[in-house]
Amino acid sequence: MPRLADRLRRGIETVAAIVFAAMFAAFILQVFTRYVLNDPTAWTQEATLVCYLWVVFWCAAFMLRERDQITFDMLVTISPRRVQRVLAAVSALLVAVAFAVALPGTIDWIRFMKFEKTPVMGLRYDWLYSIFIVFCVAVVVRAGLRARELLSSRWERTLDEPPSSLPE
Amino acid sequence: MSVPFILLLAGFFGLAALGMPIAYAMFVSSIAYLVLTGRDVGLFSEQILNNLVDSFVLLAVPLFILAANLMNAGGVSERLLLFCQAIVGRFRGGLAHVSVVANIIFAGMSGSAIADAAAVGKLLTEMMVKTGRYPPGFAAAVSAAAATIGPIIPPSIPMVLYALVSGASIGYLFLGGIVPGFMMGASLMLAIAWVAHRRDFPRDEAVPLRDIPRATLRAFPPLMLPVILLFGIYGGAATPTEAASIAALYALFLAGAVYRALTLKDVIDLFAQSARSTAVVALLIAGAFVLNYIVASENIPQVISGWLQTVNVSPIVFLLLVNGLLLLLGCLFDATTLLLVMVPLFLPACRALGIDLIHFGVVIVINIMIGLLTPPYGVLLFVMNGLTGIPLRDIIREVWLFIGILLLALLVMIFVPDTVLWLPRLLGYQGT
Repeated sequence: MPRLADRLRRGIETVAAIVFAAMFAAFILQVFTRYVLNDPTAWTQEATLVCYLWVVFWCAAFMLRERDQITFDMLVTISPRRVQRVLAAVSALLVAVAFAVALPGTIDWIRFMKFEKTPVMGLRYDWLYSIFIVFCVAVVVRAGLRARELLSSRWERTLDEPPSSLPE
Repeated sequence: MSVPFILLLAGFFGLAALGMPIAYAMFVSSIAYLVLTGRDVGLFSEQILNNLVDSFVLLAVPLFILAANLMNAGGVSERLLLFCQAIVGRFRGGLAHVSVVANIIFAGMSGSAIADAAAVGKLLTEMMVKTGRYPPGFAAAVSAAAATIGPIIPPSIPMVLYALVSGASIGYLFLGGIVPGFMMGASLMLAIAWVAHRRDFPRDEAVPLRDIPRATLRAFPPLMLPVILLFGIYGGAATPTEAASIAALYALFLAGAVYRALTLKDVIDLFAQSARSTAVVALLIAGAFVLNYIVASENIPQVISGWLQTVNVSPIVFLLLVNGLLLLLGCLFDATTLLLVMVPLFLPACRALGIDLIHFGVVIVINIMIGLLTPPYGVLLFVMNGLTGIPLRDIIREVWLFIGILLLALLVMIFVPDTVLWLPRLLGYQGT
């Protein structure tokens, strides 16, 4: 079902673009109300931070591929392919396990944050931070799937997955 | 230093060496540390989220990324190149000089060396190779070396990160980078002039003087971007973050309305791409927040500064030692990791020794940018190799000269703090 996957990816990217644009717009609005109208709005600063947090963990959860991230791959690239496969599988497994271990504590702490609200817009912090739970779950699932693929017969495709393409 | 902490360090370096993304290596080793010491694992999310929300200055990073992406996509680089060619193309080794000048100008709009290498470096390397008179390795080495100026002349993403960990003023850091940025450009051009003379590199056909006004006029709109940024910040009108948003808006206006180089689909792609780059940097920052919390709770910076006081080093020896260490680490690690993880370790010692944090910051950022050129792990070398296909071996052979001359410039800046601090002081900086 390659078409569905493509459309899903496009949708995820569009959401990221929209949230990023919203962050940018809130910023411009803040500068405008402060320097042109001389009557700064207080909510824009909070809005930019909310958008920032959400765009970062949204992208990290669903858009970033292994190769997009900053990696110290000097030792890995000079080792034989089969060693690369084992290292990649071990590293994916460790990521999945560590995030799974951290998940209960993370959920507890974020649920506890429901007693606090942002000063201006009055957003509940547990809602604001919930994207981090989404991120943690996505990391566990994606790293787990990656490990499974690396241990299966399709391992070469997973190992050679290129970074996300840059727009020309 | 507890046993779990040593395990944390070993885990972090070990996992990174396995090829795990560095941000995840920080997450995984920190989680392991919290579990081993029996602390609440919720600290992991608490440190990341509360610190991210408190760091308003970080918002400058996505805006600088966006402005640079918009300028690249909008065909601005080509216009600037023609302008630079009109000015310095007439000298021997003309295109190499053009590369340096174009990077200085581009540095005034983008805050990242890699963005500059992708924008200016690729184009110029190809132009130089096409003439057949410059060795490809030399062409790529010049472009890589000139790209290091990008984050020294403001705006600068590495300096924003340094401001985040040190609490130093971004405005003064940015000002402090201007003179050193031009010094780096001048030393590179000296090196180029020497090589060009020895190897008999070509001159470009001199652009007639009467054509220069037209080239300037065509390049004028993008040339205004650094002016907007600097006046916004130092006219006292805007914070660096706000100036960054104005710069990004101006870039969007230029690329979209003036040059009409963007469709709606391009804009969506550009925003998504900027979001992606923002997330890559933010994950590293998030990892560093947890790691640095643990490092601080183990009192490591105090241990280092206490040790330095017992061995009684002078400030200048300390600066030289830190710079030497960071250069060595720069051969192995990327800039963001060094800035966020290593540099905080030295800051208490800096304060104890009375070293100015603006001077220290600018020198350290330049040092770390030179680290982007040093093999085996030199990100700029990889970028040029990836963009142009010129073999790494050839680039590395030619880049040593430029590393050498940049290190000389760095030494001057270390021994003469006024090279960094003169301009900030002129505009009201009160520090030592």
